Amino acid sequence: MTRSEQMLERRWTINGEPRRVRFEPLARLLDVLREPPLELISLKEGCGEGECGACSLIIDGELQLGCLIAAAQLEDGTELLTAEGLHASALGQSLMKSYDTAGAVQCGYCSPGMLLGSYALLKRNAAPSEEQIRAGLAGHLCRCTGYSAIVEAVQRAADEAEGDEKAEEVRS
Amino acid sequence: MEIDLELLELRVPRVYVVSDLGRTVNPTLARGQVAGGTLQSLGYALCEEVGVRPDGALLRDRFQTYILPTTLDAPQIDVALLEIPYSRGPGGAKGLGEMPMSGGGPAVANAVAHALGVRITDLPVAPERILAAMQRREGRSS
Repeated sequence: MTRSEQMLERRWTINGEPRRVRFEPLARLLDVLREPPLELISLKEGCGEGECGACSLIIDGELQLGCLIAAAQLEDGTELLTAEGLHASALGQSLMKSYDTAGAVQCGYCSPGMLLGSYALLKRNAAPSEEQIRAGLAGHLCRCTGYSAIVEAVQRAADEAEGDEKAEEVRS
Repeated sequence: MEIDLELLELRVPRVYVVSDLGRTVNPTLARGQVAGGTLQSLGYALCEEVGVRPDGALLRDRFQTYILPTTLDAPQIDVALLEIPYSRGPGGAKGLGEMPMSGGGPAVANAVAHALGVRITDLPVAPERILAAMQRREGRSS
């Protein structure tokens, strides 16, 4: 049996685009996404054991850890969202902007995972309290910021989304 | 700081930190450095411990065993920047990033001493160390 016969294939939608991927049977999702040809290097390997959240991505609407998933587990038609795809939504753009203005990014290593965690949180709960924000992001380790600016960034994005909604209500 | 008297667990709900940096060059980054360093300092004081095995290898070398503070461990951090210009620094500025590391250990140890009357001199100020110190004190007084 040649090596190529051992490769698996899948068709996923990644950040809105249909992609075909090929990988070895035991390949981790994190590696399949980071390596060429996809090169979605926003996903980081912080620990490889599910402790830090740096490899987070959203799979069919749910926040998951790329280091703990075998790529083979994802069937054809799976929808994946990484930090590279955040610009395509209003919420994603709002979060990236509020992270920037609040000083929530220092070294940036936790930021892609933290942004996706924030995105998933605000999708679930559009007006979270500070306690809810902290609980929602507890799976993402950050060494640089002390988390204060991150919490503030999420609050700002939530307020902005609420403001947009109210403006929409007034208009309609 | 709060102490659970049954579990001897410590909780810091809020921390105030004042940093004299001489002259602020970038306020967002400066505050970020102080806030981040303060949490590092509290982690050092409360939950981080490496340890060395008898063969010299690190005992806790993974996030699973070397415990970093999460969003739920982190207190509200109030940062004040004090600008007393330092004549020998560029534009009056001094170093900033290392300084927040100094405060957490002593602050926590002093709070424990104030609350429980025992002096802890090893970090982290873990419940086991507090218990041992309290038992030692009781051994002396009995």
